Amino acid sequence: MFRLKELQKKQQQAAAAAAASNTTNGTDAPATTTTAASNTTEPTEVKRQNSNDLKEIRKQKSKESYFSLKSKQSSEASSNKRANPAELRAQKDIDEMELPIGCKVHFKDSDDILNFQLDIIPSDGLYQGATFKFSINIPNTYPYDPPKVHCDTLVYHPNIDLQGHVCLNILRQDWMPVLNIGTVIFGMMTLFLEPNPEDPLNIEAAQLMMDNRKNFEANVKQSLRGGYIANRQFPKLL
Amino acid sequence: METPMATDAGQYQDIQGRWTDIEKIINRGGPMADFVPDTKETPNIKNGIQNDFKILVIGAGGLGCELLKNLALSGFRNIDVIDMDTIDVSNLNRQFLFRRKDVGKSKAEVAAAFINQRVAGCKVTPYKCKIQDKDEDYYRQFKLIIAGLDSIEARRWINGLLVNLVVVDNEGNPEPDTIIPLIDGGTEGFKGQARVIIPRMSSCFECSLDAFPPQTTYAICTIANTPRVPEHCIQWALIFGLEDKNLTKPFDPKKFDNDNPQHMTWLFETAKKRAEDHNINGVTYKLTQGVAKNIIPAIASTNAIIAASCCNEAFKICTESSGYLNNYMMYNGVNGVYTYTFEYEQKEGCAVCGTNIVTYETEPTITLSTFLENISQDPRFQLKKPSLRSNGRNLYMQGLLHEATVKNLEKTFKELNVSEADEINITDPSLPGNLAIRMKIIYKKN
Repeated sequence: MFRLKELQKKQQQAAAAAAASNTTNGTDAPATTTTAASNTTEPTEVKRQNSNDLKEIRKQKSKESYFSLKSKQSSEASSNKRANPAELRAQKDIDEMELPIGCKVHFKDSDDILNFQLDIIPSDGLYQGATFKFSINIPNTYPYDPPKVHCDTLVYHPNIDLQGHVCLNILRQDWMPVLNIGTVIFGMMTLFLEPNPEDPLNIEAAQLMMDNRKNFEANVKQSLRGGYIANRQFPKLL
Repeated sequence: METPMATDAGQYQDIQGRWTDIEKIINRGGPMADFVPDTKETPNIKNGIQNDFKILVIGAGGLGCELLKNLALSGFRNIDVIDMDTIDVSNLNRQFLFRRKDVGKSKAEVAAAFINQRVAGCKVTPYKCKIQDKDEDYYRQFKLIIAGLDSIEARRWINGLLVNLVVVDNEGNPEPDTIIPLIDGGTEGFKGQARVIIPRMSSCFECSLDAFPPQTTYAICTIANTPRVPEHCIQWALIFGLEDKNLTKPFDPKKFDNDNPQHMTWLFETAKKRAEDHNINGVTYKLTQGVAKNIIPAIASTNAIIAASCCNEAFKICTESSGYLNNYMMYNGVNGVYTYTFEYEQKEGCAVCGTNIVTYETEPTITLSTFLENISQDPRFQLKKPSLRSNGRNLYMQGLLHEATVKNLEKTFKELNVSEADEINITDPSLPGNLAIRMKIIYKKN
């Protein structure tokens, strides 16, 4: 419970010992003892520091620890480059991701790991062989908030509407911070292998899939060949 | 943006007996007290509270008003308060430092002026800005920081900053002088939490991020096709309505602002129309605001309880008069009153406090491949397949970005713009959890 206090005391003792040995040796105390000295001069006195002293001490210590001879300017500049936790987590996710067969990831700007494109080429099922493009954005609140996914290819699919919204449970209501970018990509692939008419976003497509599977499959094929469905032309993907 | 206010705290003389109750605590020792009691001649602790220790209160809202009041009445006189918000009429029921005439003014400024006027000798300095607008030097001056925030993002930011301010020596021990405790209060309706974060010593905010309940979201297919409750309709207006080019809007949908009444009126009308089409009752302007801004009902007494716990801890930490909260107190007033205190443990591999900053000495002329070889052989790090990023850019990545970054291997640090004191973030599958190594580069002097 009082780990902090213990640590403080230990350091004070060490500083006191160092100060003692310094006086016997007759050498000058190093600059770090500015605080230690004030602690040891009056052992009965409660340690207290003025806010401004505290600020100076803290500044001093962080300088000493990182770079003995750094100018003020560069120390300030570098402090702004602190990696944000979302980026650090994304770095790890991307690093360790094993893409399912048929998935490709492109980074428009390879330094910006929070925004990328995903190509899905299903290796099986109704959508086999076609390429579907998605944009994925990792928000700064990641992994508290899920990645944002948008489908950039117009597709006839029960769970993807014509504006590119995607209905996948882990992208909204079932998101958990333990999931990662890889699980989202895996989920997206699953949508193409097994469309789920129970969670429809394109109602007509979902209804047809439930009512008349054969006609639905014919529609999918027609859409992938660049045909019209309900007066809407789909891009030719096969 | 900043408008510190001048007060005449220096000239003020206390009425005799004003701090009798506090003196009873700090003038007497006790089994839990870890201090040398104050005497008339050496009022060290009292001096600390009243003159030396500067306290920062983040947020001047529901919790902030209570925090400022409690701190001022406990004898703290050097207080800074930061809040970027302005006062809304709906705040007045519980944010008692504000009056009707204050609506539209800065929360921080009005709250500070109120306390300064009401509590003689107290000097609260307001800043109407984002916490991100202040630099590390600003935060270094505080003895302690208390946060009464409503956003996870802001909490993560201040937590990350405070953990970073701690200097860790070569043996991994933090320097006590560089530790600034953070007391974090939070409320949600009848529930609340108060916790003490001693950066690098106890679990930090990031350690417990996974435990936060996710925001209420609805399946997008429900919103699109089978709305059942008014919230579905409001979410529909937010997602589909804004994008729909057939719906006329009196503003640019890309610049939708949930603080703009004109935008909110449009959102409300659109949600209401959607609700009527689906025979759903209950879409009101207030609910629309609630859903769009993710507002949680605020209960004045919950704020009071949580703020009181936070100030209690602040007083104990500053005076060392008793043990402080270790380290998480949850309060639930939904059914009766229930509180539970437990120690939230540091998460192994926490992205913030589980990452140690290590310094690494090298030359600017080193190539990335040699550097990789060196750190891979360094027994301190135990790396197998490291990926490196610095200053928001890839240096060398495994996996998907390998191809894009492999050409960097032959470049020197100088060519890659890695300067002294830059931080290189290293992730590796052999490091547990989220853990990354943050390596600070120093160049050898010749």
